[in-house]
Amino acid sequence: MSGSSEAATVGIAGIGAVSAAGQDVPATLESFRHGRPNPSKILPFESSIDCPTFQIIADLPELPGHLNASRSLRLLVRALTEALDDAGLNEDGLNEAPGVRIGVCLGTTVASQLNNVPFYEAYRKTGHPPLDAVHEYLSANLASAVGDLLSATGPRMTVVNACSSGTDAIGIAATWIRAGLCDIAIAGGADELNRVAMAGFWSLGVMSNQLCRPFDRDRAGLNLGEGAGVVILESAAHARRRNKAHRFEVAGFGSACDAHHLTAPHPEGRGLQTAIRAALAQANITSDQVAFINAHGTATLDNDRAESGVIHRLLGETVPFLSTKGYTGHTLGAAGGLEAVFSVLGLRERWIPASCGFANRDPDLPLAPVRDVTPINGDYALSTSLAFGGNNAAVLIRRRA
Amino acid sequence: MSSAQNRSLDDVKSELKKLLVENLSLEDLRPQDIGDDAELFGDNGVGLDSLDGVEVVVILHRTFGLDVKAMQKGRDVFRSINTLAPYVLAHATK
Amino acid sequence: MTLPPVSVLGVGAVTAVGRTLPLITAAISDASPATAAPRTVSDDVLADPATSKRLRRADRFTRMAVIAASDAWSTAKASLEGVPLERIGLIVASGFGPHGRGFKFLDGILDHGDSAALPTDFSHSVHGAPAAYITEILGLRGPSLSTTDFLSGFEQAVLLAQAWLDQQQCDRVLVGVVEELGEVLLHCAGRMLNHDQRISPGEGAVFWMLGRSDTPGIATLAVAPPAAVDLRIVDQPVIGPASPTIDPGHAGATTTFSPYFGHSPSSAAFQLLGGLLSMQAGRLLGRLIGDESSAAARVDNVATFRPSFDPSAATLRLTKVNSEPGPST
Repeated sequence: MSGSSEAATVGIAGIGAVSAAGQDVPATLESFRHGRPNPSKILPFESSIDCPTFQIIADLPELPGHLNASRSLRLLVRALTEALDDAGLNEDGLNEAPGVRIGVCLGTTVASQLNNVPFYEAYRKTGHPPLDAVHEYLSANLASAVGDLLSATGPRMTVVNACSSGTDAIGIAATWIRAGLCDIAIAGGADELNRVAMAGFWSLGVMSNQLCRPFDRDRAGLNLGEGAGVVILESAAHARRRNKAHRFEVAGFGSACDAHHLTAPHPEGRGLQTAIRAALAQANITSDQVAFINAHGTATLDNDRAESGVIHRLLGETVPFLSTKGYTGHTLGAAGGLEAVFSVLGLRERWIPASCGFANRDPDLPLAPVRDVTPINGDYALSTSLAFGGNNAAVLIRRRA
Repeated sequence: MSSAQNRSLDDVKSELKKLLVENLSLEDLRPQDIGDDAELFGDNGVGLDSLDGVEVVVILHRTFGLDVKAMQKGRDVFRSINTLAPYVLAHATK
Repeated sequence: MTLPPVSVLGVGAVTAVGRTLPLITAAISDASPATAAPRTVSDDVLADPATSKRLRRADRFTRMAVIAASDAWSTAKASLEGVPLERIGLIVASGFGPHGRGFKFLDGILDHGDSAALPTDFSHSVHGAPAAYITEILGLRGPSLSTTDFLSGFEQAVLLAQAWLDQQQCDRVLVGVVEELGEVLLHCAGRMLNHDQRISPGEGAVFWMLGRSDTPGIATLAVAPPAAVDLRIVDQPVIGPASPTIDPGHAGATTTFSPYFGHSPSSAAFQLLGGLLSMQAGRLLGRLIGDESSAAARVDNVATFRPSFDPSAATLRLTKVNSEPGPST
């Protein structure tokens, strides 16, 4: 399907981001400009695991009408508020204007699970625990909560595809816009640092006790982070009605699975290959038109090997690429949302930051990421995500003149 | 239950085989079916995969007090019972 | 804008009243169970020799999903010939997810410490575990999506499948739900529902193989605005004198399958299964509500209905192939 007809165009009306790299987009750009990571010194919870994490130190106010909102939701709303402002959609307050349908598609991992340790500990001990944790859990569904906050009447979906959730959410939201199911879609993801997730990734042997080193010869695993990244998608028709022109679009998207293993990626990244090809085809461009790639780049041995192989095979040796996880940590469900925002920024600012954490090329990998702030020419950025369980997602962002 | 002080290599071998069968839900395998020299991982031996591998690391940490990061670095010791048992015997703290 | 309906090419289910479609049909033809006990899936349903080796590490949650998905695949076999595996998508929706395994992982943390919990428990405790198994076992290489919602997970999944098919992102989509009951969940449910005897929590999995409407199937399915149908299926936990009932304009019959399958965040998928089996049997099945004699014997179309929701909210509608839309009378 070519991207030239109005119905097929999915504009990006606004962006918002909060992570350890910055409390908003301008602060994030500052961190990127200086190649400065902000890992935390102390964990936000008790754990015997001694590994660096990327925590957000910020005031996250409670939400009106939503007592005890989860941290993930408050992070999401922070990024959402920035994105709505950016889109010029906040004049009527956070409520859906009459006749306009808003869809909400958000990725997460932590918020979807009843994994409150004190609650379960009390259950084991007494058989009759306080149920506050359960009530909070039941009101924590991300898309549901955001949809309610906006009184949105379009489709709603909370994506729990592990590490590719945020990117998948953007692809789904774009599908909704093209299908005419909504005029505007809130897409992206959020996740908070969590004791159980930490224990889980530690047990899988993929977490490093040093700062992560994506694509580096000495990489030893990921660092966990938290955050929220939001893109506001809008149909061309609706943008026209409110006299806005989009400089950026979701030009293409692809999602495909490895069908290989519960926790290990396919060694040759076959699912990622399919996903990238689908995104390029949907955008109707060739691989040489990709200006840069924001890779998944978690710094695990397996991910970086599989992913760099695919990038090399499909996009060649010279395309600039980086992992931003050296600035944010691996933010799980938020990663795809944040990295789509970072991809828009790269196209907008015409530079990408150094791939933080990278120092020495790995001779076993066919490529190395950029070491310094790198100028960008070209109009398309590719963001890739690879999930445990073998799902792979790729989104192509386009900059119009 | 033997402790770090008085296990023999044979004790360790048979304890390892029992641990594998019990903890990895290898339903059609008995401990005595696992040859000392059989490849533990990959399709040509006992057939364990990477997820079994990280599970075994935690089981060994719990049972023998072995250090997780050290085990993750030395993947070769997991080739067979014959390579694993001496490592366990040498480093067990429980 | 509404999307075109899609064809139902096959269905698979693991439920409290059995696994095979004839068995389930027989169960929902009988008078509803007298007990208000939780509707659980029996263990012998989960013992599936065909997949047992590949499921050695899997818990009940993943097993239910894999078996139901495999059954849907088998019943749709003929329609899958020649369809490339990258063109088959998967959507798995669940409200509570694999919480049983999640609590087992927490046992590990509490008993052995944060750094000595088991990775197999963790990797199976995430919502995406069944999808990972299903794609691996069936060899699916298209988009795979796991979602979570407490209210409309199945409806949203069907709507997205319609969009994927309409936009040619896929040629087939396997859409399913899975919910499990566990000790902690039942404890909380009992207290939060004030031990209301009228509500039976339920568990199980049901999967639907869907294709574009030009692929012949057993019925067509759409998420659509409410319209007159032969059989309206009430999808809510408590049906009784206290709950709002049928609007007088509804000419067809009303039923519910909650007593058989139990209630869960994914109930709609099970209610729809009951509706499909009624259509295929040509009879009104389930626990009929209201005046049974007002209904025609033919069941050519069914729709789910939630009185406590916005009455204009979109519902799931199934239509028999080769029949007129709208009621038969």
